[in-house]
Amino acid sequence: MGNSDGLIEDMERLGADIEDAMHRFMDNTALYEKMLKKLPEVLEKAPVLEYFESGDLDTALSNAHTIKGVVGNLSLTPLHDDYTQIVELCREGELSKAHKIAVETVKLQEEIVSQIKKYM
Amino acid sequence: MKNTILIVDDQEINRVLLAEQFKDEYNIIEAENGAQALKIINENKDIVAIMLDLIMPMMDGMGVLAELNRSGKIYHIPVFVITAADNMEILSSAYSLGAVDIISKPFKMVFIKSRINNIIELFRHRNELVDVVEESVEKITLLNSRMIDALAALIEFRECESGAHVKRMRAVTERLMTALGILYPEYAVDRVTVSKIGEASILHDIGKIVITDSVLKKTDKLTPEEFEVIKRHTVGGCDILEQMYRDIMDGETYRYCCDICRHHHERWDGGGYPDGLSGDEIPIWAQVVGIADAFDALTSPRVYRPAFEFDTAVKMINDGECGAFNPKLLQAWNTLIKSGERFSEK
Repeated sequence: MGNSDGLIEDMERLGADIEDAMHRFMDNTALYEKMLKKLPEVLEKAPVLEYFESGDLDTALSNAHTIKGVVGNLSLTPLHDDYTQIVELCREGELSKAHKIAVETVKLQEEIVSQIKKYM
Repeated sequence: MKNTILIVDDQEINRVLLAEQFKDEYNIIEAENGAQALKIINENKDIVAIMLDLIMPMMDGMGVLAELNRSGKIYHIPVFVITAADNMEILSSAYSLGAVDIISKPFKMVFIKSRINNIIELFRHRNELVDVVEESVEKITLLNSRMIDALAALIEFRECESGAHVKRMRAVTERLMTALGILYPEYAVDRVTVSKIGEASILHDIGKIVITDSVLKKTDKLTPEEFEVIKRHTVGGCDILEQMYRDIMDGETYRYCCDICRHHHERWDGGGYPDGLSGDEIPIWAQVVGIADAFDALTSPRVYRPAFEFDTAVKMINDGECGAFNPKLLQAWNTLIKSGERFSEK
């Protein structure tokens, strides 16, 4: 596994609430970094936008729900807020609004993933 | 030795976070889906808590909760549902399936640790109490059984009936009660109740112990006055039970004993004694013992006649020669006989 110096700072720059994360990870930065490096695989296995666009809304919602839980625990606040909105809008039947947010979210998500991959 | 917590979540990140919190105090086992979780639960007896994600592949959290309900494990192991959902319908379903608490994502670790530790401690106390109560119930059941055995021995000692008669009565009563419930669900009772009724049947003639030998053991035909004395064994039996056992026997068994003692000579058409009850006024367990007692009397030798053959006795019961019985009860009786039941022929 690569050197992780700077990973936490990069995440903070992208909106992560590091204080909240450290509280949850009991100040174990190594564990937090290790778990951050698991995120790309989680996102890869649970695509949302693709299922949205293919019309499989159940899978899109299920994946959005999974990601919401994971990014929440990693304190990636902007992503967590977005996925919370996507899940709520899907449940309310506001699919076009949910899709619009998902398109923007994927951009942020890709940026976060590319930053994390630098340290892997 | 450390107790074990099972963490069930398809996402490793969530599992690791929870495991980190509890790894110093507990052994941690992780499962990625519901099916894996159930296998682990069945193989590990020292699991003191389960943290269970709801949305998972293979088998979801609701499926695991349903299975834990079915097996009864939900009453012994606290289950905490992990969810990022605030959907009230889902959370209500989880609670109604026995979840004790919800762990919301993102995790708030300080609260989670306290809540989980508190509930594990509560369940530990509760499980200990359940063990104590079960042990007490076992002792009371044994005591009941011993009391009934003691009275049965007394009946035998007094030469009212033989020990073999008492054993046959119990066997016939239990088989007939079961067969009746299968044929006619309105009379169905569970297996424990059947066993209690069988036990109570042993005491059906307890009242005979206070009848004088000159009447009880008379070999000649009884006078009408003497027959009235014999009839009193029904009410007399209840008096004995009331004086000796009302306060110490469990309420249900006591009721069966009294009903059977008093009413096992009642007949369906009201032609029996002591109260002349008819139809379903006669408790069904007393009706069952009534037919069992009549049959056993027919197939047992008396000083004034030999025992009737099995088939003859069956015919006499059906022909109403021992009084009228409930047609449904006769139907169950004949079904048993046709299935080859011989009631441990003498």
